[in-house]
Formats: sequence, C-alpha cells, structure tokens
Amino acid sequence: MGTRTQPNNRILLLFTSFVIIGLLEISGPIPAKAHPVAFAKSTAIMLESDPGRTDFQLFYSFDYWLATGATYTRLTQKHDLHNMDIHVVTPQLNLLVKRWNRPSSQANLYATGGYGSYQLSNDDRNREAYRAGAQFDFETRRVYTLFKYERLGLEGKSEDIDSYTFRGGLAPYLGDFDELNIWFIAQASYSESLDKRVKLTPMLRFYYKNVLWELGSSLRGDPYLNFMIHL
Amino acid sequence: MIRIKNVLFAAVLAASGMAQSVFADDIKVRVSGMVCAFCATGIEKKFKGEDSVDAISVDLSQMLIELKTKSEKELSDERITALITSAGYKVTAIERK
Repeated sequence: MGTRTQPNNRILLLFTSFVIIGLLEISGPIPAKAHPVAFAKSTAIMLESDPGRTDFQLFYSFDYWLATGATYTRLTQKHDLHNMDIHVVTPQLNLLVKRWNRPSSQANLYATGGYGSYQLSNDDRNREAYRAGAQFDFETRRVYTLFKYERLGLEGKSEDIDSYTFRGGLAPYLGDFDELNIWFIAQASYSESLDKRVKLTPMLRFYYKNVLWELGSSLRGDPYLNFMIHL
Repeated sequence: MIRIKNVLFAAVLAASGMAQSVFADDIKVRVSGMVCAFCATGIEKKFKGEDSVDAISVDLSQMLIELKTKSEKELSDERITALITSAGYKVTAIERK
C-alpha cells in the first residue's frame, strides 16, 4: 500500500506539458473546458480551442464550491463578407450550486458569472461585456454527460450571444487512479449568433492524475483541442 | 496456576494496547462520489499534505482510500472527514486496523 509520485510519472507529466506547449506554438492559444470549481486551494488552468472559438481560463478554488479567476474568449463572427474576431476578458466567479455524491456516481450543478470588457478585431475601443452561464454534469466510472449554457452580453451589440453545449462520453475500460484514463466523447454545440448550425465533434479524452487533454475534429473538419491541469 | 495465567494474559493484552499507539495505523475510508480519477487528485493532494500521513492509495473500483499513518502520529476520524469534505466528497465509512 502507499503511493508516492514516481520519477517516471513526473517525466510523463512533463512530457505531456511540453507537447501541449509545442502545439500551442503551432496552433495559437489553446483553452479548455472543465469543472468550473476544483478542490479547495487548487489552481486550474483550462484551455479550449477550435477555429470559431478560443477560451483560456485561470481559476483559484477557495473551497470545493467557490472559485474565482478570469476568462479570455476569442470568438469569430461572420460580419458582412468577412469574419470578425471578438476578444472578451472577464474576471469571473464560479459557484457549485449543488453536488450529488452517490456510491457509484456524481452529479454537479454550477453557476458562473463575470463582468469585464471586449474589443473587436477592427477597433481598439474597450467596451463593456458580461458573461453568465450554467453547467450540469453527471458521471459514473463508465458514462459522462454534460450540458452547458452560456450567455455573452456585449455593449453595442443588438443581441446577446447564447451558446449551448452537450456532451456524452463512454469509457472503453475502467482506468484506476494511477492509470491513464481514455474516453470516447461526442460534443454537440450551437450558437445562433455565431454559426447557426449544430457542430458535432467526436473526440478522445485522456487524463492522468491532474492533467487532462482532449483531441478531436468536428464533422466539418474543424480541429478541436482541450487541455486542463489542476495544481 | 490458572489465576497466574489469567493475570499474565491480561498483562500481555494491556501491553499490546499501549504498544499499539506507537505503531502506524492502517485506515480504510469509503467515499461516495469518487468516480473520476482527475477529480479525485484533490483527495490525494490533501492527505499528502498531512504530517501524520505516511502513504495514501486511492482505489476507484472500491471507492476506497487507504491511509497509513506515521508511527506515533494520529489522524482522527474528524480530520479525515474534514479533508475529504473539503475536496467535495462524502465519507460513508472509516475502518481502522
């Protein structure tokens, strides 16, 4: 009995980090999707990216139910005959509203909100922005489901940007705590303001101890990358 | 003769009771909601930060945490429950050897 971090595990984590950083250099900022609140006194770095959206998040969890930090979001919106990027930065508060711990499952309900500013790619002015959202997830050791809703309110924009995400996942094998875990996940996302089409993205999720990463491609061929680490 | 044996037996029992506190404890903690290794790393981190803990292992298939305390160090049930609760999980049973 007993677990101490072995040197080869540290090497694996370092190697993974370097691979992710290397990919960052090739493809640009790479943000991540995750539990909005982690365990008490932890720091979470979350990165997620596809061609239409990039999210980078840095959060500190004071307790298992409350975290604070900031989110940077880059959105690409079709504007007339060309695309326009919207860059949003919001300090943010994340709250675990309710958790259900059962013998063989866990479910969570989160609420998130923030207020900050945004810029357009063709305009240097800082304008006001707010962000509000909710996330529900349910998982067992074999099955994973998530539903997420987010609203972005941008000063001067005639309508808010509403985004919906649903995920379903299945573990082909039950990895234990000290093992590499692999999941098959399918994600469906939709935002009328940005794309007006449901985007389906199958992906593989990997995680080992406190490092998680996801690699996939939408059915339209858009690459998808997600990375998260808890410190 | 039987009385002497009983006295000796009682003395050995008493000595083992006193000696036990000098040795490390093996503790098994059953936890509810521990279905994800990525999320359960918080539990491991919390116990590794405890001075009284010599080793910890997490078994997701059994929803079990096994702790070994250092000699002459104590880890109370209340402290175990507080650590696991602060990680966002629920303790359902604690067993000690």
